[in-house]
Amino acid sequence: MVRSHVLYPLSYGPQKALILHNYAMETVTPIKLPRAKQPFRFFSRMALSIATGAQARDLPSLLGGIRSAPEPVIYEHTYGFLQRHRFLTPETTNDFAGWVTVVLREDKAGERLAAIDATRCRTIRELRESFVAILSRAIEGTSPPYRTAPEGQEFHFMSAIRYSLPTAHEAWDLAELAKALGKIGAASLYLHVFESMLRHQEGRSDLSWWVEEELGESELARAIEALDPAGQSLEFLRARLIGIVERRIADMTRG
Amino acid sequence: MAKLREYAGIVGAQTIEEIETLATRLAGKTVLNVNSTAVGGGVAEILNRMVPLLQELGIDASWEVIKGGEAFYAVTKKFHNALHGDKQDITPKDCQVYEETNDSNLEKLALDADIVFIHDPQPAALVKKRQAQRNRWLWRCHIDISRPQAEAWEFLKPYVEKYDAAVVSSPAFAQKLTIPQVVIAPSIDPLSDKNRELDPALARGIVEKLGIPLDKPLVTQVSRFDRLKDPLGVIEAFTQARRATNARLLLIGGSADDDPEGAQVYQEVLDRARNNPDIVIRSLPPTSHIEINAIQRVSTIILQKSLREGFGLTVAEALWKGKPVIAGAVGGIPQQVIHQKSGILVHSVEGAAYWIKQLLNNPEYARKLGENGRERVRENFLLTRHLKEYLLTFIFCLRGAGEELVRL
Repeated sequence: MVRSHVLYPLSYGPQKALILHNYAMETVTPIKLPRAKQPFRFFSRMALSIATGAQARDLPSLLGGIRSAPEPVIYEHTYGFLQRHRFLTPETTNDFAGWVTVVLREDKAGERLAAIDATRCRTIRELRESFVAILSRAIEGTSPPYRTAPEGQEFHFMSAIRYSLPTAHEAWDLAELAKALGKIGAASLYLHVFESMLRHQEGRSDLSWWVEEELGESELARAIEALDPAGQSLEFLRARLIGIVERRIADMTRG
Repeated sequence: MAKLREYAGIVGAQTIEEIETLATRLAGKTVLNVNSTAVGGGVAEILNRMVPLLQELGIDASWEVIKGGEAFYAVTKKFHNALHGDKQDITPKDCQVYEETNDSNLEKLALDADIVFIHDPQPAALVKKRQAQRNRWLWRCHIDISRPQAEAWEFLKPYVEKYDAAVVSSPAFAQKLTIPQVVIAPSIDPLSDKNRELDPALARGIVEKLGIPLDKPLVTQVSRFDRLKDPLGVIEAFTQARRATNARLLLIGGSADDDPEGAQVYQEVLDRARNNPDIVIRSLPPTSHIEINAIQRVSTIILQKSLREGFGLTVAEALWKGKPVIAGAVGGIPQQVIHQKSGILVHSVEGAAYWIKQLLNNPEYARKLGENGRERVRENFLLTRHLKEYLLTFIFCLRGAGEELVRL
């Protein structure tokens, strides 16, 4: 049975980003929005960084470290890196690229590493292989001695312990979804829109899966999957995502 | 003192909600913090805020300060400098004084909390009497131990390895240890007297009351009088820059109870600055939080030219106030300052002098650095992030290592 929900214009909290992207619905005629059989329940993602003690000083030792690192280490320097950029726009997409560019001044390799889109890799293994391929190519194209990090600027491999915590927020339809997206923490947003792609392994995230399977919103699901955390802060992405959902609601309202 | 909900205007209501939910997993647990000074220095400042917030969240948190004589603090200052990498002559007698003081404190402290949270090397040896499996012990190292003097570290390490986990401020400070090392950067409290917003007229009034003239741009270093903060290097850098600019140097400091060298360094600074009317030096009591806040706000540039640093919270304080910062690239400072983006990192007196001139002559660039710095602090170095990570660490400690993904 598809339950329905009466929709009225939405109002959100005080976040500037949300106000900027609050697509006002001109048509205020209440409509019945399709309701899911199962609500979308938001979880929060928190992580604790753990030092591994492993370091790299040049490209070969970085490559060796990436090859042998446990998966949580690769996670911490990629997904963990992006998740830490709530307000500031990240200048790169992962810690490896930043270090290779800024400290080793290996610009070409740094650019290529930065171009890796972690959220498009189906598994951490695939992600690791992308880094290994670029670094191997960079090393093959360079003759020793390799550029070395100055003392004190070595790359420190870190691991992460991830924690999931249920929140009080849930959504049964698109209106509730848009509202909840304005209230959840940035890490929760990151978990359900990007990190969860690792779990689904089909290029889908928790959120895109839910809007498609529960609400039949395939186009909206594709739009959510097309969001890219590279070069954008999480607050900016939040505003964009809410904009996408609100636009869909507005289209439905207009009929 | 501000309640947790009051931080929502700065970090967002979502962050506060996350912390509150997380804390429900620790409701009723007892956490005892132990350090060596109640006032002065970043550790005491953090504990002054952290303990009431933990209590507000339903965690039975408390804080004890160990007691030691002059000899003990002279020894721990030596340890402190040696762990920072400065060569020190550590004698068997020093080790004996350290152990005896820890032993005498063991008789007075009830160390039976669910989590015993020991801060820094001074009380680290309290762990010797822990009863395995009865409770959990955490050692929080607030200083840069990336290149410690071997004798000092070899003495301390067996104690550290008796803990369940260590907490360090930067991945670079991690050591080869048999216990997990959690990385947690320290933080500043944006609502404390030292960091809260101040009306500009009020700030100027407070500074003028201290006898600090405001007729020229102020280039300020706020740091205790400690050789590792390089106050003499700051005077030299300012003197070099002064030839091309018209500014005033302000050195503001004090000393902590556990720092016996402070008075001596203060005198050396006074001697070096004598006869230079453009250098103002003030030693303020450790409770001068509003005064420090006002001084940072009226300053044009903030310096933190440390030679060694734990984390360097004065940098975060200045960045939070939107000030351009010139700081030594040591300890935790490069975590806070991205060179030429959220501040300036220097490695020498000459570098500091060059950038003082540059920033005084390019106020628009200086303003942009300050703006970026403020956002960097909002994202990474505020008390709420620190509190959340401590809660996670307590959970980690109570559950034990071995899990990569934990559903709470």
